[in-house]
Order: sequence, then structure tokens, then C-alpha cells
Amino acid sequence: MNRQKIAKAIYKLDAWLESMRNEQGYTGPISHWWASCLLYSGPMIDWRYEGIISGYLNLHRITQNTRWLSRAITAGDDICQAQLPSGKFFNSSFQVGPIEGGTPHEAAVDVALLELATYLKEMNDDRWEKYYRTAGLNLKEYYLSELWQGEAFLDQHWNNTLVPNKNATAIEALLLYQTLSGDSMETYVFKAVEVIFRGQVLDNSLRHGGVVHLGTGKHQLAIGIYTARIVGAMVRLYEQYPNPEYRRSFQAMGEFLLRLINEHGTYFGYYPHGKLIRCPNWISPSGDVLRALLVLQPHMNIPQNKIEQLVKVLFTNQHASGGIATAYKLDKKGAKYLLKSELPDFRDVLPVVGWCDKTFRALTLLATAEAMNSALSEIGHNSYHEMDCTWNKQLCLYVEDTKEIHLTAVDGKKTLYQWRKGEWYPKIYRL
Amino acid sequence: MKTPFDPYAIYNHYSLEIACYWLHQKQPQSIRLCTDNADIVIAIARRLMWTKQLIVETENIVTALQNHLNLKTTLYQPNMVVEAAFVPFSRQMYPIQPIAQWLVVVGENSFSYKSLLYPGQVGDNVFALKSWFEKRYRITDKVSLLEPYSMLRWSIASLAGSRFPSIHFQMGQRALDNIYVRNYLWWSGYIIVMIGEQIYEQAKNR
Repeated sequence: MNRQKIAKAIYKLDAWLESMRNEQGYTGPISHWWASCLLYSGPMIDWRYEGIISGYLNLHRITQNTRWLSRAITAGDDICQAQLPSGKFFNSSFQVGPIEGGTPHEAAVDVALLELATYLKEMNDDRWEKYYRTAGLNLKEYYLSELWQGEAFLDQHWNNTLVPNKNATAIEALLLYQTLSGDSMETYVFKAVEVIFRGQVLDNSLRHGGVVHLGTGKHQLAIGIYTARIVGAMVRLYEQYPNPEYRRSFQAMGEFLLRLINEHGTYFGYYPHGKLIRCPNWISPSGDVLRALLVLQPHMNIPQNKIEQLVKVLFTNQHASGGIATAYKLDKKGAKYLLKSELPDFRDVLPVVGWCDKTFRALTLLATAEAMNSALSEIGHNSYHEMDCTWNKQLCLYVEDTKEIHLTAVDGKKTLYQWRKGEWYPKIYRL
Repeated sequence: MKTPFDPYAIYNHYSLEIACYWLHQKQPQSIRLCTDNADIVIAIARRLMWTKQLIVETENIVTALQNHLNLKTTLYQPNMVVEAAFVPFSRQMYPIQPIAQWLVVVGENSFSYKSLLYPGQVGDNVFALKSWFEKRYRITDKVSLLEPYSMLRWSIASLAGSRFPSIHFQMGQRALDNIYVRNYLWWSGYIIVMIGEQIYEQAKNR
């Protein structure tokens, strides 16, 4: 594995993430499977902070360069400033749009804060308490008071669906909180893990090992990126409570994830009866798949070529601006066939902070101090990126630099979309 | 329709989004939120915290925003000068149009599929709304949401269900991708959103 290339990709991602900030935090439009949020583009305190803070902490751990710790602290301060009187976080609902109470986003934000608090506490830095208190308030006032219903954490207080990956992120936050506070969270953790077991497919089919997103109702979709997020939680749980059942479960998830990796990213998942969902093929969200494979390595055989294949996809799709494309064929969502000759959709090429953080975090797990130091001198300043894509079957030109994202219909040269980085809404929206 | 405001509902979410986008384009320094419904004001305020001054109609709303979003707002006083006014689902509370340079209005339309499902329960309509708006403002942009083609796409998505899942997801996607309608059918959408400039202001600017 070329560590130098990994280090360069990390520096470019760092520069891109900085370009997406305003005074309140990280901004930007969002594309996703469920829906895309292309109008509101202002600050959101959602799961983007998990990958950003964990990634910067990984870099500081490896290099001891204070630049990285200071980035993590700045991100932690964004969150603390955005905590609402209810304990929830301002505009935490990612693709749903500007509204608080997003799941698993608020738990993911807690994971970020608690990882930061743990790291600072280990360094005898008193600032840890601020981040610990902010996460503790959210967990107690929102997760334990509003979302806990005796059996598991609800999707929302008004929605009885029990979503496995959302419970998994809550488990991660509670395990971190338990370690820092000394208060037992076992009652919640051991019940929430049952939701994951109930959602996991163990039938020796192609879906074997995948976890069904129970919020997809009759569609019963076994989704790769959500299964990957569960792996992170299950491995963390197993390391504290070495129950062989957990190990068997995450090993099966690992096998499922390996089946989804392809030369262009990771397939979305499977329909019931083992039909593969090829569209969208995830790119930057596959960072969570890469992270899952890396944390699984001590526990099962993960072929190195699969990791290298995924890293290569991420490199290939990194824009000159540093951001990484989200997917291929979000406009054909749910399709079982992928025509690789078609141009990507605007939403595909759009880099999204709440997806790129996942790639950023995963790549930092592969970084070395030596490569990070030597790559520093090679970082260039070219951040202009342009490529063809489509919107509603029109041929378009996507352009991004440090200041803005711009989409123009080639025929007629009409601007369809223009967003100045850091702004709360696009300047032009004609999609 | 007198139901509690649901900020997650597609028609509420997308109508507030386009209205706030238009407001952001104009960059007013003060925005008056013309409704007595605190839930609607909270949903809008989350999107407008870039402006210098948010002005609300009641003390209760000032308190609700402070308690909910930690946001300080100003209570509206008669003759207060505001740059933009936003009338969300509350047009009938204002027989006389609020005064501002820019006005944005979101309203329901009884000439839509909704009246087929709930006859007589949709309290406003596109023509009354437009006529009310144009007494003081010239419309500069308008869209509607959930017009017949959009409802057709949703219906196909719903019928396809889990038996034809790829049709279900792709039709749902197309419905969302085409949610804002500006064409000749705009008058038939369930939700109407308009922005306009005050006629007097236009004359002044000329």
C-alpha cells in the first residue's frame, strides 16, 4: 500500500474540509439515498463530526502535530456552541434538512465528543470535561429520556421503528460514556444489541451477514454502509465484552461487506431473495466499509487486495479540490443493473462533508508519521476541478474550487446550481 | 387544514426550503415571520439564522424561540420597518398584506388533489392567494408542489411497492427531483409558494 499517496489524499481532504467551513461549522449540500438536501447548505451538527474529529485525533496520535489536535478542538467547539437548551444539536438531521434530533447523527456527534474527551483526558488536558459534559447532556436528555423505550432506541420519539445501525451508534456512544463516567450503561447496551441481532440476515444466501435496515419496511433492504457502521460498534463492544456471539455476528458482517466491494466502490446492498442493488454504487460513504474492514482485521481474514481495491477507488474519485465523489447513479436508485458507460449524476459527483468524513477517518487509520511528514512538502495548491455529469438527462459541467460549486447545462450554458462555500443556501438553484 | 404542523412532511419541508432560498437570495437584514404558530416559526428560524433580525408576532413566540433554539428575536411593533415579510400558511390572518420590500407567502390550494381526499377542508386557493398578493406586490417567482404529475409519480411508486422495488424507488426519486413546478400546471399544486417585490419599492427603484 502506498502510504505516500494516502498521506497526500489526507492532506487534500483536510484542505477541502477547511474550504467547507464557516463560523458555525462545516457546511455544504447533501446527496443521499433517502433524499438529497441541495437547498439548505448551512451548518449542520450531524455525523460528519464523527469522522472529522476521530480522523484528526488519529492524525495527532500518529504525528503529534498540534495542527491536527487544534482542528479536532475547533470541531468540538462547533458542537458545544450548537447544543440547544433541550440537549439536542442544532440542525442535526443530515439529508432530512435543518431540524434537530437527527438519528443516528446525534449519537455519532456524541461519539466524536467522547473520543475527543477521552483523548484529552489521557493527555491530562482539562478541556476534556467540556466535551464530556456536552455529550452527557445529549445522551441523558435525548437518547435516554426521549428515544429509549425500554427495549431499544427508537428512530424518533414519534416513530416506533427500531433501526439496527442507529442503535449501534448509540451503543458506541454509551460505551465511551460508560468508560469516562464510570456509570454503567449495560442495561441499554445489551438490549440495544438485540436489535442488531434481530436485523441480521443469517441464511447462507448472498445477504448472509448483512443487516436489514428495519426502517425500509417491506423492502427489507440489507444495506452495506449501514452494516459497516454496525461493525464498528460490534467490534468496540466485543473488545469490552468478549462474547463469542458478537464475534460471530461481526465476522458474518465482514463477509457480507467483502461481497459488496467492486472496482467502482461498494454496491448499495441486497433486496430480499438476494437480488443485488447496484445503484447507487457508493464511493465516499465506502470509507465506513474500509474502516470496518480495518477494525475487523485482527478478528478475521480480510484479504489485503480488497482493502487496496477500496483505497484505489477512493483515490480515483478524489477531485482536485480534495473532496471525494459520493456515488455512481444516485439518479437510478434501487436499480439492479449498472450501465458503466453513463455519465454520473450531479448528486454523484458532489462531494459531501457527511460522507467524505468517513473516507477521511478510514484513511487516517492507514496513515504513518513518516509519510505524513514527507507528503507535506509535496502538497500543491491546485484546487480547481471540473467534470461532466448530468441532471435530468441534460449534459452538465460540474466545477468546484475553494470558493464555490457550480453546475452549468452545457447546452445553452445556463447555470443550474451555484453554491458559495459557507453560505446557508445556494446563490442559484434551477434544478 | 387545521392539523398540527409537521416539519418532516414533504410539502412543509420543501415549501419552506424554497421560500428560505428566495429570502437568502435577497439577503434582507430583517425578516418578519407573520404567523402565530410557534412550531412553524421554529421550523423557519432554523433556516434563517443568517439574517440580523428575526421579528415575530407574539411574546409566546419570542419565548418559544429562546427556549427551543436559544435564539433572540424581536417582537413586532406596528409601523416597524422590515425588509422582508414571510407569511407561512397564514395568509388569512392578514386581510391587509404585511408591508416590506419583499414578501414571501406559502399557502394551500383547494384546486389540487388534496380537495379530492379532504373535500372542503383546504381553506385557501391559488387564485385568492395570487389576488391577495398582487394587491401590493409584483410576483417575481412562484412554484407549486404536488401537482397532478407529481402525484401520478408518487402513486406509481406506491403501487409498485415492494413487488417492483426498483420502480418504486426510481419513481419516488423522480417525484422528488421534480417537486418544484413552474410550468402551466403550477396552479394545480397542493402548496403554492410565491415571492414578490412591493410595487411602491419597484417604482422607487426605477
